[in-house]
Amino acid sequence: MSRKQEKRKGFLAILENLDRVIHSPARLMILTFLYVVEEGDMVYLLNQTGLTWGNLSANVQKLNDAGYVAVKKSFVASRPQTWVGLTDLGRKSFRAYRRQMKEVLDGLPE
Amino acid sequence: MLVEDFTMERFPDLKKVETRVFRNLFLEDGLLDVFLGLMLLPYTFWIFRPDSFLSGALSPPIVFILVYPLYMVFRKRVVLPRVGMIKPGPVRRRRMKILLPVTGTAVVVTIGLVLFTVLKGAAAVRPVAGIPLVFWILGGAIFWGTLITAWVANCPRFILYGILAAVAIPGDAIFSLRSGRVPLTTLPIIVMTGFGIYLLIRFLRSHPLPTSEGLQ
Repeated sequence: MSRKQEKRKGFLAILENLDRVIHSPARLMILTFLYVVEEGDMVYLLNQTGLTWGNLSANVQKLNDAGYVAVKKSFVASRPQTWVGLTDLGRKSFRAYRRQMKEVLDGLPE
Repeated sequence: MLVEDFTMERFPDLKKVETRVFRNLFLEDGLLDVFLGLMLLPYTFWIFRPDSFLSGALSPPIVFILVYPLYMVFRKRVVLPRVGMIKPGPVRRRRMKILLPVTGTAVVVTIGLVLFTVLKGAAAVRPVAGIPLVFWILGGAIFWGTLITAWVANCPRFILYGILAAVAIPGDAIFSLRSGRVPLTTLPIIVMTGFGIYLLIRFLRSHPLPTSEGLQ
């Protein structure tokens, strides 16, 4: 197998193994904004991502189901407040995804 | 909004994202600019009318006690429902810890200056290069304080505020104290509060209140 073919095979393997839970623009945004803080509430995510409540809730739920985020609900002055933070697994998976994506993007021709 | 950072051609620079998030949450509403501008008011009164009731009543600690609760209430009621809340990450927390000694130093310098001026009298106003010593100390403290705040908050406009205030306070010793004209210190107050109000209006327009809470 030529070097070019080997490189192409490696490139495709990375793409095949990309984390599908993270590999969506909305969830990638949510994870990125959670990665740079310890945790944030839903209004923070809404304000930063520009998603709608419904879309945001659905994607946070998917990330929660995958174990990437932890959702905490509380009441402050009788108003509900939802805090979301990355779990250790979420942080680790985000780093791995970032590394893979960098490899893919750096390997692309200009 | 930072949606433009998320293209598939490049991965978002996390350092930039963190800086922009912090600025969006703490600096885009302009409240801090207004607060810091108002904190300079006592110096203006002190320079403009040293013997008036206002310059005595509006000492820096009293202005702080009056303005800081207002700042906090406005932030809690108007800003936070629009931008949300976070617990900062470790890098930001480390930077913010630096602000504590800076704030402590500012308080010590202010109290020290009051005592120095009261106790030393003539020595406090002994001119150094034509400007009373007390003005040099005050201008220097404000300059370094704002410089460090600018670094902690990633906010270059605070450097401009620091320069304006640091130049205006010793400058007043030359111009306003001798001529009795409106003090130069009003310039940083007008710039800071004016720009802060402009930012606040812009912030309120671009950040409407979210209609309902998700994931209830």
